Amino acid sequence: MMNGRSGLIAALVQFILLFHGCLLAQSGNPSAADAVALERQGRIEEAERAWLAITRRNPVDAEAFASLGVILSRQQKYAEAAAAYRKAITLNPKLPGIQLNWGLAELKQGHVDSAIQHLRAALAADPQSLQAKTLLGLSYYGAKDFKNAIKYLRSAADADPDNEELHKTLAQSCLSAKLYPCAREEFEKLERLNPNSSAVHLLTAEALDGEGKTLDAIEEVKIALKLTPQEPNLNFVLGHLYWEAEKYDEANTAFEAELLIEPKNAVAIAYLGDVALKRGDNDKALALLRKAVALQENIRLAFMDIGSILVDREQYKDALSAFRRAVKLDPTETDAHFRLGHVYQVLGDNAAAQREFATVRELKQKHDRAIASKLASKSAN
Amino acid sequence: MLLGILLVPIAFVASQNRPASPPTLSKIKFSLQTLPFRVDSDETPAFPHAPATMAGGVAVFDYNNDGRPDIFFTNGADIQTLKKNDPKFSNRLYRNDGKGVFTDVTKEAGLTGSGYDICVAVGDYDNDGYPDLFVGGVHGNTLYHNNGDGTFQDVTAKAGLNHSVDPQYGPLWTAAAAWVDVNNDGLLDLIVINYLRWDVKTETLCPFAGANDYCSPERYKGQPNQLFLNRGDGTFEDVSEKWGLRAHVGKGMGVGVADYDLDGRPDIFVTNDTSYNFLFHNTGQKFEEVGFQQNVALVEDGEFVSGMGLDFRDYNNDGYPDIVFVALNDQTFPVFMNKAGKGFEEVTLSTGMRQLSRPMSGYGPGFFDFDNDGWKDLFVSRGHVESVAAPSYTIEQNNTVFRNPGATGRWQALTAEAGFDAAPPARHRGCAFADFDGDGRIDIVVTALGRNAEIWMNRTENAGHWLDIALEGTKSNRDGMGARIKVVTSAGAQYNHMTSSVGYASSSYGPVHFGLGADATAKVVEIHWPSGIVQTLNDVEGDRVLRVKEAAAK
Repeated sequence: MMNGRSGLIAALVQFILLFHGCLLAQSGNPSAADAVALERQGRIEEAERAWLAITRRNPVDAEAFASLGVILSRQQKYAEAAAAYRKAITLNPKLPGIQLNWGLAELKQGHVDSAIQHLRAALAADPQSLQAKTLLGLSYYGAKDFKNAIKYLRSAADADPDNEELHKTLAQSCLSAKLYPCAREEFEKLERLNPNSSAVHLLTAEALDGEGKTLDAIEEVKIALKLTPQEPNLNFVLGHLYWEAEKYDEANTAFEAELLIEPKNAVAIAYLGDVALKRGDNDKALALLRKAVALQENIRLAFMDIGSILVDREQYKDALSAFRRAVKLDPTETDAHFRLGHVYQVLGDNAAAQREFATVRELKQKHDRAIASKLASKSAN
Repeated sequence: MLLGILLVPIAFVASQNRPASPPTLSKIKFSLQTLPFRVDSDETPAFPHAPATMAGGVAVFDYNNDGRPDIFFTNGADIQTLKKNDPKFSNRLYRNDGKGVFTDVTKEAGLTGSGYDICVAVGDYDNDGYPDLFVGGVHGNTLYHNNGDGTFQDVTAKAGLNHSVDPQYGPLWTAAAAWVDVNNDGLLDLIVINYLRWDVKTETLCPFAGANDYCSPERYKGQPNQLFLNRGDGTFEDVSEKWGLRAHVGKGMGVGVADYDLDGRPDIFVTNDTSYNFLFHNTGQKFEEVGFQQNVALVEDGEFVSGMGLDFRDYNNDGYPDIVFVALNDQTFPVFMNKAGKGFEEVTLSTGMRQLSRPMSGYGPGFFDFDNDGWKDLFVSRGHVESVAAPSYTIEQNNTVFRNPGATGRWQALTAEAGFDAAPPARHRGCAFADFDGDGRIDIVVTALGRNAEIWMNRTENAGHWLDIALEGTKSNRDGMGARIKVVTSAGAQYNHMTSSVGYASSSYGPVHFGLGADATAKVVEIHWPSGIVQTLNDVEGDRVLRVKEAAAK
């Protein structure tokens, strides 16, 4: 009977609030309490209208603007929320929580630099804020400033060790920064949190590969495959790792397994072709490589290999075409220019050959200058 | 013009244990003897400095003309001051008694040195019959004149070779050097190969795997090479710009001298670390850089590898000098076969060298016939340039000989099989080749960072007959540098030439060695002197050192 009575009372309260809300909705003068009530009832749009009305009525009410911002954020109207926060902070720079919310709104819009600015201010105001650290870390990640991303995300992850998403983002930051030991440590933590996550094993493999531990990476991918054997691309990754380790028989098996799942994986076909080339089966290699580029025309490796095979067959004009395609796909890589130069030499076009060799030299010198410049600015800082 | 035989009757070294005719496959084998010399490059693991991983040049030459090759080691110095402020940094000269005893005669000889030394080149630049030494190093080089009495004199300033600071490129770091008569005037000129622009004060740290390691050469700027023409009066003229060398700036690691197109003028091959190599074709008045045109600038897949030491010599007995250089793991030891002077073809893959050398890192290679079967084998001093271990490669390695199985076969790698595991793996650096005990089998001396030097005595079983040819030029430079020699046996012809530049930072002064296989006599020995004179000897008895003086032109 108590439950029945309390339930009835709760229902009555709801009814009263609802009735009051309806009155409010019809009223042109809502109060802050009214707006809050509407928000609690989940009547977000009406709450937004209420806050708008309040801010129009009192354009110097900083708190109202702040609340308006929150309501707008809840509706994913982040640009408008940011404007509201801006107004709030202009009216009262000391209003707590604004920088954090504003930072979040900017982050949600992809304005990472702006987000960083506000979140740094939030963290300065509250150095222990886990939220600020997390959001700041995510913002730096978005800005590809992985060094800072790692710093803040690590701090957040240490405070929240079971937060898989945090560890994942931290791991990705380390991976992107090519800090492979850091990535591997995080992925190993993720594996402990969720040993059945194929994705985590795959990412761990990437980290191990980055450290040069290709054989260990292979084992991780095998675990991932056991968990999700039909996952597209997993066999390809395995094949690629075997290819890196020059275990071409195993690479071949893995690439073929990928094609059973995704028969039109052009890159897998290209690598099968490359393996055939390395095994000396040029006929098979050429057929596979041509099939790959027919499916997907931007596979540079395929064109380089086709070119090599055609040079071996003394089909120099066709080899020219292949190397030219490779150059077009990435004109900054020297190897295609180098091979092109040799084909021109064989064909007797020494002027063209010299141009290609000159390009190789220029690209190399440009690369060296870029490194020197990077080092110079690093030591200046 | 056909010339008569002219053979100066000089005592020859008779073989004490004449080997029997070789079976189809000889067992190349070496035994280890160590010397108490250690390369001390002043390594500082907390903050590694580039020169410290590059020291270790060694030379073998008969400094006192007693018929026995002696050994000279270069050494490092205090890395901050580049001064040898401790006896541990001394360069060392060891006199060979021919019976396995090497005596330290450094002080008497006056070869202690003063700076951070890296490389050495042996050549008789004043044609007085006594080989001199050029020692190259970090921000300072030295020319030592051999006085002929067991002592050497530092004549660097007098010779005009004391300009180690380039107005544009700063203090020069010399990694290699070679004596070569570029203009065939009978005087040895000096080519100096420079490496990186380096300053201990501005060098940065390169963290790796939780420690600090040596930085990649990509982090440094390169320096130009130099050519000094011998005036014949004890002085040299810097003709680097005039001869076209200065225009080509690289990160030179090794230098080889050979006439690749048989036009009678010596050409120069230079390996550049993580960059394209140079092949300087000698026109008689300048060098043209033709590395790309001749297909030796890069390996066949177009990668920039860490080219280290090299050898420039005919290994397939077609009369044309080929090229081998060494690099780090996954980069192989590329072999370039000379296509009759019309370019080179990389044969690393087709000859099996790619697969064999892929896991290896090398510093100094040398084409020498270790089993005297008439085919030059390849020795490589091995070790990685880095100092911090990584999963995908080993730092300390054993040396290896690759047996040359003839014209159409594939290389065979012999490490433990040849006895090189008698020494622990090490970071080997320079190597030099000579017959230390006069038994007709070529021995090897190898340096290693922080370890005793290794002398590998050649104990190959059933080695073939042999012939060592010691040249004395008259119209040509006295050493006969650049002379091409053809030796014909019943198995066919083989070719070599006189140069003291081979390997990494090192020098092997000769005589020029030939394995005669089953033949105790060479049917023909034909010498093409740099002067243009061709000298032919018939039915030359083997198993000795044959001294040949350049005949007068008719």
